[in-house]
Amino acid sequence: MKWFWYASPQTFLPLAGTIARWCALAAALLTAAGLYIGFVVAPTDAQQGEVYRIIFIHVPAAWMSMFLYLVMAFWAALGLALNTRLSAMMAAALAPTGALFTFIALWTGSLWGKPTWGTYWVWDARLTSELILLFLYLGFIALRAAIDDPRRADRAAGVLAIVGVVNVPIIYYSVQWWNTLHQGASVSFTRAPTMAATMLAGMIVMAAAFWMYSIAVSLFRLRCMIRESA
Amino acid sequence: MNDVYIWGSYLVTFALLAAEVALLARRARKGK
Repeated sequence: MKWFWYASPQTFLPLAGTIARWCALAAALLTAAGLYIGFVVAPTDAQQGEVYRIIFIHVPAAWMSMFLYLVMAFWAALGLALNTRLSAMMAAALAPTGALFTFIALWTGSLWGKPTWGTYWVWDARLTSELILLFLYLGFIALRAAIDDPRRADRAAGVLAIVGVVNVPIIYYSVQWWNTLHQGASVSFTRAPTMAATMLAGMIVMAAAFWMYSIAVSLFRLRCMIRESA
Repeated sequence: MNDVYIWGSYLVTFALLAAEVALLARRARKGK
């Protein structure tokens, strides 16, 4: 793999298009499979009834919101360390999609909370830290847009992205560190899942779909940015 | 009764994702 060859925006442009098209196709297929599992295969929950089906988008969206922030910060850090233009562009291309998934996680969580908890919103640690994540994404986008010189804009936004990384473990561990209304993690690498296998499968497939969607959309946005900057 | 919450979640989610794709497609056409 010729890493330095592809570090140039112009040479990465056709490869980004190819990857994005395949990921878009995978996202469409996985979404169809995920919706089928979520609405047809997965059984009705014994306690929550049908409304639990919101988790098939809520949990993957929340995972993506945190994961995309880490990826964005990684590219921002690489851009600051190596001064590669494409790295900063990658970070900027990821931010709107990350913000969108953060909003979706908050929106769907709210619509799940009303029938389950009896309220759309509480200021508990999980919900508040996820809201801060949305503001970090929006702050990154706004800061980058506010500075005319693209190099200075990338540097300033990159620093913000790196500083904001501290919020991601706070979101993840908030349910352990504080007494929250939001329940603890249902899926873990170290423990057996606490839900039916078909429910877990629905969540994993939708997470894969959102992952493919994020790669496709970010690379399409990156292609637009490369073309516009040329 | 709870259907409104499920539909509200799924429709808004996929509407937002579709809107993002549509905006990007428009941006790509403008850029050419």
